[in-house]
Amino acid sequence: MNRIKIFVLVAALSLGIVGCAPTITPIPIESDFWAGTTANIGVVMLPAPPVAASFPGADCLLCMMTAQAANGGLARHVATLNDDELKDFPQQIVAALRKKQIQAIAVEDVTPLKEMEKIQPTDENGADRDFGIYRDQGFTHVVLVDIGALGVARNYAAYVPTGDPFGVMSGSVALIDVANNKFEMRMVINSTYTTGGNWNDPPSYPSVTNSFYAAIEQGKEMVLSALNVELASE
Amino acid sequence: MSRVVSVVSVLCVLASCASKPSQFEPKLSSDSSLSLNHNLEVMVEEGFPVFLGLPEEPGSQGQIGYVGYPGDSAEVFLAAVIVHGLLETGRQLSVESLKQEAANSILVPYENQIKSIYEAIGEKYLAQPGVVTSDTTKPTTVVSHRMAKFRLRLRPMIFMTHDERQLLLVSEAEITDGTNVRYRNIIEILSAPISQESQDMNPVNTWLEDDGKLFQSTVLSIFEQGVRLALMDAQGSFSAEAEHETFSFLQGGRVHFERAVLVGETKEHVIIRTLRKRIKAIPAT
Repeated sequence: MNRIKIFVLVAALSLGIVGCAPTITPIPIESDFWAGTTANIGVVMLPAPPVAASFPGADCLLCMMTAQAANGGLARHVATLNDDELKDFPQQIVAALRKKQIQAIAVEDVTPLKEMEKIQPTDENGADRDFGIYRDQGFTHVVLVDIGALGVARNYAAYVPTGDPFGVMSGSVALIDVANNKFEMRMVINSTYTTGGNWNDPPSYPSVTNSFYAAIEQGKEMVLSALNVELASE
Repeated sequence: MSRVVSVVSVLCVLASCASKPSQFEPKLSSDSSLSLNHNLEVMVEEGFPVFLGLPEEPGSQGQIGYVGYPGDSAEVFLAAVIVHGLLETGRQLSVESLKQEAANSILVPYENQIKSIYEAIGEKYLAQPGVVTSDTTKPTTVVSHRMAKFRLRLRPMIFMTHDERQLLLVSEAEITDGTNVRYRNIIEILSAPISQESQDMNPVNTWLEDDGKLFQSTVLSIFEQGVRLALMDAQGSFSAEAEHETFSFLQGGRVHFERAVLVGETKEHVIIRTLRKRIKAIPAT
């Protein structure tokens, strides 16, 4: 019985770290959405999860132990990487929106989704949370960036790695009309970047480090592309 | 329990053998006496430069995936694992070889220009011109034509991207003083994409226009820049401490990313030091 409990616990933890991309129906932004709009946008980025190594496919208890043991150095190195490159991202989104003459502000006091009132979506484009808190702050819309997984993944087939590690940043980006809690846009972000061979270079793992930061940069571009805006030149 | 431990041990060994550490170890220096004068001769090792096609890299194509193994016992698992490992290794090697062969085929129209480039480089740096080859494994011999205190040896490889719009120089550079290695690094220079007036335009025509003037001048330009950057790196010109950034650039029609430190800029290139300490010049725009 104890073994089953341990297995369930470890499996749940592992899935949490892998952070499967959410299964949401994509809603692309209307191509002329920003044209002539008087929207006042609040850019909200939810706190990103800790940077971690994950081993999708190593699902059984013994497989997980094997993957962890075989990639101990890699996992320890990944844990030393940071998400500093994301700290200015809300401001970068604001700058990209302002480049399109859109009024926008990065929201610093972010309310976690679970603390927002749960509501019944009115249709398939409806959100299941009430974004009224942002309506009260004077925003007409909210850009919500939710990063679900950040780090480095290595695919496994039970006990055996099936490829090299790769950087991962996954999650979603949404544009919500806070007057009616409807999605104007909602897209999954799944940025992965390969290490390109010769990755096993402890202790600094340069290829792994590169793939991690490349996945972040590529993920940021995916978010901007989903919003149909471009990074403002510095 | 001991059987489980032994299976895990074997699997850990197998898993950790999946990728070997890279062999090339850079040796950096900041010796200002290393300069292009009578003290230093530059030479290209015989058989180089090598011209290759650059296969389309997977880049961002890593995907989270799952493959299952059968087996009710540790032995069956282990057998499946070993067979899979052997098959996978063989398959990857043959796929890589086929991909490289296919990539090299894009250089066929440039045969005459490559011969001219060998002559141009050979006159200056080689006792005898090299041979067009995709075989980078054959032994190389240093050809010396004069004596100098320092010797900069280069092993340049010139790649054409799969979209045929860019050339990439990857060159090992090593400075010796006769007995000791004073400097060793890899220099990479990526040319800017050639302009494409229309999507239907064949890049071969652009490169080969005017007797291949653009192709030859681009190859010689990135080669000469490679020599210059190697010397500057050996002199310590790129030793500035700065924050790491993630640089993006277009290579083969796709955006690539490199975590690096900015060490210099020219009109055409941004010069960065990568996490592997290599010097890389990427197009400025």
